[in-house]
Amino acid sequence: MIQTTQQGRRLFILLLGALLVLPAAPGRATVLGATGRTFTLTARADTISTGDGDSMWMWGLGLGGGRMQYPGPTLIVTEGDSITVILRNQLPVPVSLVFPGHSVTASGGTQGMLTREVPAARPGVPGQAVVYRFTATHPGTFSYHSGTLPDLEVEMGLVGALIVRPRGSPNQAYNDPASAFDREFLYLVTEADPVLHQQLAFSCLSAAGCDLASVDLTRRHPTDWFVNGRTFPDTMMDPFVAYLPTQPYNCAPMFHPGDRVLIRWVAGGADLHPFHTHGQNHLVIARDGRLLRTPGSAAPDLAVSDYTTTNVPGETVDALWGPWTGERLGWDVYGTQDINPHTCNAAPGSNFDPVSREYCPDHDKPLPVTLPSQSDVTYGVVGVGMWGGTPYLGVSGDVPPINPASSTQMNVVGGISFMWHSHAERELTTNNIFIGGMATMALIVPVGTAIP
Amino acid sequence: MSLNHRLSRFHSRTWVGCLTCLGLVACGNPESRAPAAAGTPERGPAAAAAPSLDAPVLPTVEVYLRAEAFDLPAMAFNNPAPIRMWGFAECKEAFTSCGQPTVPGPALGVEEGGTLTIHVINGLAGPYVEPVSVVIPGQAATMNPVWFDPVTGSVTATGARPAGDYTSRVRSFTAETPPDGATVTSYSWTGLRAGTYLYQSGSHPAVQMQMGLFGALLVYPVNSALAYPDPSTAFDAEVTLLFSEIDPVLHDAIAAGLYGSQPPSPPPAGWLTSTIEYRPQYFFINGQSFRPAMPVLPAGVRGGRLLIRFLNAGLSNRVPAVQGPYMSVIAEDGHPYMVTSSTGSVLPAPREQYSVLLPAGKTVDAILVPAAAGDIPVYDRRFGLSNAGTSPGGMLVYLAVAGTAPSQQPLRLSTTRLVFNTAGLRAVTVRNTGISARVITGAEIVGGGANPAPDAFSVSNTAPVTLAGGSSATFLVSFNPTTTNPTALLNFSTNDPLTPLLTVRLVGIRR
Repeated sequence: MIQTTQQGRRLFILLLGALLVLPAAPGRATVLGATGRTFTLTARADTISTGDGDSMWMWGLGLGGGRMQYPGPTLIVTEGDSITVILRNQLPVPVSLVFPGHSVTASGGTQGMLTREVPAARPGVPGQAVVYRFTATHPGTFSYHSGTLPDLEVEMGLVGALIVRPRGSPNQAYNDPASAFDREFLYLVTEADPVLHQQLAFSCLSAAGCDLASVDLTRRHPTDWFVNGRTFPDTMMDPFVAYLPTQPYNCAPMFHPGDRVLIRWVAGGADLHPFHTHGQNHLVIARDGRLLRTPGSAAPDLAVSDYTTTNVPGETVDALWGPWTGERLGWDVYGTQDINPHTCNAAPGSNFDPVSREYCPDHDKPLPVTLPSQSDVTYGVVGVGMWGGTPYLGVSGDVPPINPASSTQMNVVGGISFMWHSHAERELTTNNIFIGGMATMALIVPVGTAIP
Repeated sequence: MSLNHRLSRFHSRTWVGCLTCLGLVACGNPESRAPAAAGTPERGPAAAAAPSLDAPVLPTVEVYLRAEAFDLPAMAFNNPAPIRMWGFAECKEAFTSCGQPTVPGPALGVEEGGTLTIHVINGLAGPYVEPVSVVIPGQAATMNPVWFDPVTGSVTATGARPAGDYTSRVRSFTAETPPDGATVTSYSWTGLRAGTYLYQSGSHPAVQMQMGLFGALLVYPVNSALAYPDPSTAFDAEVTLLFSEIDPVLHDAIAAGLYGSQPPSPPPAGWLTSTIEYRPQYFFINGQSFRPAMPVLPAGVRGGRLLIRFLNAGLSNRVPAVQGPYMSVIAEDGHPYMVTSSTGSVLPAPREQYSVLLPAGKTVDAILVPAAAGDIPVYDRRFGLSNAGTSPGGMLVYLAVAGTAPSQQPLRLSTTRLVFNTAGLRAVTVRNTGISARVITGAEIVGGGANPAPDAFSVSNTAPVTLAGGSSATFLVSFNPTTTNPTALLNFSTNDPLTPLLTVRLVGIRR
């Protein structure tokens, strides 16, 4: 009997191994963006869609001569590279770019408040360009935004992320191995006041042209909150979907038990956002693109564990979430044997199965909760279905009736989901529509399930 | 005078002066100020004990502030109408005369461990006035809160609330100075902590902070080349950036007498019962909103260590950002960032950031080492960058970094100015911050200043003193007044080629 059981376990492990290898390109979930050393960005006007069904007139940056996007293209470069950003302008106002934390030389255009600016576009006049050059001296998470009338132009959308990867260590956020990650996700958080956008659109799209005095930023009252330029639940839709042409980036973290997940927070707006990761704490390892460490230390010895991190306007935070395994939950996250026959073979000296990452001391322990009857649960009329039918990893079950007009079953792989969102709960709305705003659902999927 | 001139690198131990002024209100000349009163026994510990070389004399600093109402003129920063302010004016000893009130109030510089006494007269005038006081968050003091009955508005107690009284509420954190233009209330702090602090009214702060009753307090360690008593906080130059805001609605209501929790019936148009609807329209650094021709702030030299003291006297979060370089954020609320290592040693733990969260009421200190000469923009990343919506404006300044390489002068004075409140002894220390030994070849008192009287002063030690690298020597100067307000110079001659002569200005106060 013992022999048979061990063979069975081996077979299960082999199967899991095969699943891990099977996807042709397992694909490290990584940050979407433009790579290279030279980027041409064009400031243009366009509209975006928000989860309440509204659309908002925006100013944004497009890659090359392409359509503008919100936020601007995420620029992904490598430590030590000399970076050139060429800015062109089709907007009726002057624009510029600043790269906080970088020593930038700018040429062309005219001198502005913070850097050199591209003058406002004028019909029939060839557009000028400003060239910004800097060396990406340090790896880390950074941002860029307009340095011209920044109170107005950042509100209008001229903001983006800059990621500098350490040379030779693409799977680390910094040069220290303590910053290694299995998967990474960008959270560029912003907010907007749709009334200001309406006021400016009425002015700028009229025959008289833009009257900047028609908007008073001291009266700004944001009611829309974004992650990577989208409101919930659009945050979790695929990237580059046709129905969000100016909001290409999503924010849908998916990972396996045991993965080290890097969160790159960029606060792009003008307000503070306390961001909360359900599930477990995150370890804050860096701020403003610098590891938190004492002088002389290579490792982030000043890293702090938190469940809510304040995103300060203009600043960035890198944090490691996980590895999540369900350790010490007191129940088997893969379900009991009657529901999901499986084994847990802890590695020597460890409590974890090296393949499934299951916490073996809790193996086969039932969920200590009596689940409600199927007839007593429902999906909300607005929202996204993250309930997979059971609380167990990799085990799907019957789900409540779904109103296809307002909800979507998003969890067909039996994942466990945690909401990662602004802890300022009013920011979980899109212009007063709940649920929306600055939220995503992080989905833990069983080992063996491919992650796009 | 420049509205933003920084303190000298070797800050005088007892210098009290105006760092910052608002709008078009002129600052007084700090050199003309009498910073200290004639000593009284309880205020003159400096003279009471004969100090040893190991225990430097700790000064008592006395400051005279008068709260006054004044109007910022229209169009000072695109404001269409004058704006009523309440500010502190710095006065001469015993309030014999006062300068102009300013917002922020005069910056006060004192020495760690010393005693600060602020004497206050409340000269607020207008249809609506209030009692005022002074508190310093982060500095210990004996507080005497003032309690009132929220129904009748009358004061019920000062100090502890009487037993059994569960309804009285605090309206002032400490003793009030009534708005009679005459009563002097003295507020004292002993054993001052080093660092950057706000002093502010502790009475009805919801109104009085907005109206402008605040200023900066800078407390220097005994070695005034440090921000805190830790070598990692050494600096060569410093600049103070005090952030504040104005919502003119409250100011207009105060000026028109339309403020109060219990309005007449029916309430007149424009009456405010609280400050809850706070929407600042004007944004200031050191009392100035940005304008294109604004002068830059001198900020030391390329490669030097610039100490930036950020203070937020406004009611909103601010995020000062420097464009380009990083700062080493070293302290918050007057406490340096330190950590205890696994071996038990306490280490500095500065944070490398290009911006810093500056919540309302907080102070943050940072060291910036500019790599190049030029102007570094500092602005609010929460974008308080307009004047009532008109851009550019608001919270933006430029730090002007000079191109000269930092000098390598190893000999440094603990102070360049000694002020004597009374007959007695004061100490001055010469420190050799270099590696090689230097010799102080002589110490001599000569005539100088406004009323040259070298005979009024003498120095304890005139013999040559050899200073090994890292060591220091303390000299005691005694003062025995012979004439009114005598002045002199204490000259140290040295064998250091870069600083052959170090001079301390001596000022005695005698009426």
